Amino acid sequence: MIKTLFVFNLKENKGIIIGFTLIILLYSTISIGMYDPSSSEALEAMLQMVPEALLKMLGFTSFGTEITSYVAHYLYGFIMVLFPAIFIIILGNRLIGKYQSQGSLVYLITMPYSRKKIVVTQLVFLITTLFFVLFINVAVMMIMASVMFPKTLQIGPFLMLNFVTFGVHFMLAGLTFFLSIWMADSSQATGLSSLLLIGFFIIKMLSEINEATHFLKYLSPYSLIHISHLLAGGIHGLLELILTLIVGVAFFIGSIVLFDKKSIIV
Amino acid sequence: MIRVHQLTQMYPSKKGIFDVSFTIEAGEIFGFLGPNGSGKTTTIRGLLGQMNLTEGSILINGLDPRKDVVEVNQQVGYLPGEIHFFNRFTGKQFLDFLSQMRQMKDMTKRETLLQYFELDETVPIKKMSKGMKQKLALVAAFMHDPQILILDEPTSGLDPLMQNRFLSLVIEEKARGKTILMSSHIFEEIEKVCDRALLIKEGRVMTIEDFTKKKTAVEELYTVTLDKENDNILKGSFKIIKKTATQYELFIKDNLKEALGFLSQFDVVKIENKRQSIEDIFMMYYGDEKND
Repeated sequence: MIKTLFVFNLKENKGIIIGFTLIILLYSTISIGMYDPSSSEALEAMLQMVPEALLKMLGFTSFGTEITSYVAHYLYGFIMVLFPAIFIIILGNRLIGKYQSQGSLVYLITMPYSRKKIVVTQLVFLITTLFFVLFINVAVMMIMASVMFPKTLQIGPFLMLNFVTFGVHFMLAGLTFFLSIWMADSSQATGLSSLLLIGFFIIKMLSEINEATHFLKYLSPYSLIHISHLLAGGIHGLLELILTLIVGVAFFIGSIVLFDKKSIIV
Repeated sequence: MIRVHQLTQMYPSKKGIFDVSFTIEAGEIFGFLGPNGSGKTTTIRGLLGQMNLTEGSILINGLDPRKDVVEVNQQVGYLPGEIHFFNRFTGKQFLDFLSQMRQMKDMTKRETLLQYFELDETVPIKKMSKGMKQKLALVAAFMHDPQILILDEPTSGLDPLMQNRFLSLVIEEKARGKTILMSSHIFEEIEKVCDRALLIKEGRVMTIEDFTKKKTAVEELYTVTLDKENDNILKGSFKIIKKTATQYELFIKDNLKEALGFLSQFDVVKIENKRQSIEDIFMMYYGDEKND
């Protein structure tokens, strides 16, 4: 890890890091602020006026009367999937890919550091900021819930939901980063990773419409963020987390090896 | 010392450089001369360990630029041919970043260079002109006082005053024992400062010219304009390479006095010593058949 480069990345990318944190924070604080145990039936009644297929696509199936389930359905079908995905597409293509196609990468690789150290620093930066953006929200939600509705949030299942969400994003961040190193042109790499990540997101939404489209869930990694299964507890959450982390690490190792070995023509 | 041995680097398009060998001794200024697209930058990419070599080997002070990248980059200052900075920065922020990356303690050289090139480092890079960017890149290449300098077209974008300042700087650095490789497509600046120069064309080495030995043998190109066409001029003891109406382009070697004597029998309107283009140089060395 190169500290100077890490700080440089912070300066270059502070806008999107703060921006995405605030957008997600806005939704998460609103979701908890709006929660009212006594009026959840009214909310359910209101939702019945919206077409069922649309609700299913957005993950707003059954909010339940309990805060954990309410927050999970409100945020983890749409907000906590789509916004981090866009964050990954932007940042994952910036840290090496943009400099590579711009030509400024030459000023990184002619410094007295191995290529491995450079690419590892960029990877650590991507993962640290992704973790930060997601978990600052988790922390704020937990604090808000404990103040406004003491002892109602089921911490264990809620954290598992968040860890699996992070795992899926971690894996796809690895994929995005790998593509950005592999493809010399950063706009092409950004195009491809957008196609994949947004595509996975749309496939996941479609898979939830009805029984006929249900099989589509096997085509999207985002289906691993299965809210009711994860909140129900059990071992499968942990297994999913391990699986996503392993695949993510494989992409990271691939990125490091590829960057170390390739000819860089800038 | 830089030693390049039978280097071949091929791009997927089959273009590249082929069987390039040369050695640059410590304390030498070595020129790299060739037209655009001849393989100068490709060779430099190899020297910096950016590209995987198809064949051959490179040693910089006995180190492999690909495997020993940390040590090599500590000793090398590099000026890219195409300069792309991090555009959000000011010149100062950019130099600060590089200084920190290099863990530089002594900033005197950096300050001296900024004054020498009259560069205001507080200007945002986005707002800099081509010349300012070139100066910034020069400061970045020289500021850590490296033992070896690899400079890809260092004078491009500089005005004549700054070009001369740069050439003086290079001579000064050589006197301090630095090894310098500079590429260019302008013969004069290479001839002015370099001890030797490699001429490259279409990826192959044409010759390595030693300026320290053969200074007198270099032919000069002149354009002679007569008041009317007179082909008797062709009988002179010089090589005429081009004729357009009343204008004759000719090479005069070390027999200037004799040539002027011969020319005095014609009605010469104008005679000028022409700045030699790289193509003229190649023609001088290889004649028409190589200049396809």
